[in-house]
Amino acid sequence: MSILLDGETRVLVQGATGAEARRLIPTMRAYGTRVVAGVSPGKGGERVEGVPVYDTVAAARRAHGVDYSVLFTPARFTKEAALEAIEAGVPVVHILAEGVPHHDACEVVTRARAAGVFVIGPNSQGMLSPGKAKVGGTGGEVPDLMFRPGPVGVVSRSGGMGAEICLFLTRAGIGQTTYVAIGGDLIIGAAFVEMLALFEQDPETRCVVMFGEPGTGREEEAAEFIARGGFTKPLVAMIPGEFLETSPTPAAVSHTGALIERGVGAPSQKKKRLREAGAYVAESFSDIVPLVRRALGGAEGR
Amino acid sequence: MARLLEHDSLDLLRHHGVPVPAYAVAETPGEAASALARLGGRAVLKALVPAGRRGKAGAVQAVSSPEEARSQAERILRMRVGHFPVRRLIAMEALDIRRELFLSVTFDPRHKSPLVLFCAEGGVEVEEIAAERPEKLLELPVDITRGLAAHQAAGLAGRAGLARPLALACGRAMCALYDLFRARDCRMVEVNPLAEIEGGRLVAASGVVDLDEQALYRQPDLAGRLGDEEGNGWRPLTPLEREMRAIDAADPHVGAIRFGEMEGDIGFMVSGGGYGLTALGQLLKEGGRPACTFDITPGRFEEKMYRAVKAVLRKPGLKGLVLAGNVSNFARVDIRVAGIVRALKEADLDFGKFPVVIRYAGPGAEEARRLIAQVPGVEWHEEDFSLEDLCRRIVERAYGRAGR
Repeated sequence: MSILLDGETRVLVQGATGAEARRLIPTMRAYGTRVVAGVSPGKGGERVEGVPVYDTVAAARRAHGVDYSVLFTPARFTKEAALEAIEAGVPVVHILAEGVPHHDACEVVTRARAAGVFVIGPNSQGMLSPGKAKVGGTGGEVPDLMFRPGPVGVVSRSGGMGAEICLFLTRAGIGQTTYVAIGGDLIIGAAFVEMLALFEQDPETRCVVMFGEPGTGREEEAAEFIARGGFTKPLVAMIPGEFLETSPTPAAVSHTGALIERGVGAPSQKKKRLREAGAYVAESFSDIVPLVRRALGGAEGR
Repeated sequence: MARLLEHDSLDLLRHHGVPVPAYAVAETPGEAASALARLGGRAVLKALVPAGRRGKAGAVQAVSSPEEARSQAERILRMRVGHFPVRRLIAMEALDIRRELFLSVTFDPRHKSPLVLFCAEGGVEVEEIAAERPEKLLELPVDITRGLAAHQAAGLAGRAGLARPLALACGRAMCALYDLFRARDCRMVEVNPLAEIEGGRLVAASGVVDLDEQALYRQPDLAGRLGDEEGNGWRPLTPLEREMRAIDAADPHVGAIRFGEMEGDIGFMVSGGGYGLTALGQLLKEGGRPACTFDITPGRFEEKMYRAVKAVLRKPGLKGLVLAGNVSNFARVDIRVAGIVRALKEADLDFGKFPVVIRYAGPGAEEARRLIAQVPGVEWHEEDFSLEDLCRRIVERAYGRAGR
């Protein structure tokens, strides 16, 4: 199985007539994604790569049913588009745009929470369930180079590193259930905890690889979640950037910055808390594959 | 980092209803002395630089005569605070401060909301206070879709144990600061100290405003106030960093460049935020000394890569160059490599002696391989070459097999 996205998921593309969407829709469909419709205000009635385009999300949803909307909208139009999807009752809203103003992201995430909508991103590269479906740029034109079906869930703050991890897992013959880039911005919808909760429920996921980064408390929250028993499968985590803690370049100083990061954000602390919660922590990139093998108990993924 | 200087921050605070003291900006000792007269004969001179800890650096001085203003201004204008030379001062009305409080608004990634931070004991020691007596630092997450209500703000000040008139005044300051945070797309706004002066009045004795770089397009007047003086957050830009900004600005529509110069001798042009960070840690572990960090977002950026590689190769003392990125999903690596090959061909270098190690994988790799063959001696690797292989290889070749 997989989380959030499979070959049955009815996917809507917002910003469907833009260049990025025109380029990616064919690769998504070729991989098996069920792209049922697109939305571009004022472009209703057109078709993009064979996909019917509507003026509004509500109209697209009435005509096709929509389980998942992926937003190819430019950063500055993303808030409006995301709020439209939330108000139209789309259960999963995935925001790819980089550079969405923080205030806009915060508003979207807050309204989504109130409406019970699951938001991924902003600044997420995409998601891919091997052999089933993909959205966004993930896998691009060469998905089989990086991905194959198997027992490992992969979740990453960095789209590039997530893909790199999947590449080396795949080269080692270890496949994935789902790979998701949660997004690199300060304010995002679902973070590690939400994804771990879904991987916990997925019977085919036997192990998860998590790639974190310095700053925020997302990895610490994941450690707490594991300690509380919310995630019971083996977790392999990598968090680079420990060298920044001893680098001579002082971080830009504000009292607020120092106060809000009290005790969280430092890679060494994140790793310590994850280790204490029972995770396998990779000290370098080449540790990941052997740790995953160990976590899977020697039996490699099929 | 998009931090405004203090005079611009105070302007914004006043405009949004947070009371601020009278102040003037001075570029010369004479201007500081004449500002003093307008400020009532007593003032505090502060270096106007994008760095904190100015007091500890000796760049804050109370003065009470024109002669003193002149001589102290002269002294401070010769100083550096951190890495920043002081070019201007802010002269601020002297305040009789009875009490110092702390107030800020920022984003809290945990609550995924704005967060008001308030402490009834402010000043430069606020971190120590919060560390020793965490109960003193009050936090209020704000629902961004509803805003900060006056009763919530005054309630927070009341919880800090403040008596009614002061609590109400603090509540008003909080609402005004929150209004500024929202209206001008701020990442963080801070008033420390928020000073209680005679008559129970509150004024912002100092202010910091960090803007959201991702929203500057809709705050054009503020974007214009972020000059080069800002630097990279902790020091002014180097000439090479300025050059790289110019290369980037020449075409804002393809691949945005992020670049930082360092003191080492290996040109380290490894892109992808997470990949670059991981590889940089690995390079340091292997004993490598990076000369720079570099990232470029996907796009048709052949020309930018060409100019960026040429610029890095001009850095004196380089012992080698790494060009790499995480496996590409879509961006064709041959476009990137075409620019690199042009730059390498024009460089007067023997790649048998000056190592260049390249690793890219993804669409366009075969074409890229053919292009690289035009520059003999340059090492080309693809998806089977890990970031550890990359860092080990460049260290080995740049410093000789013995390492270092």
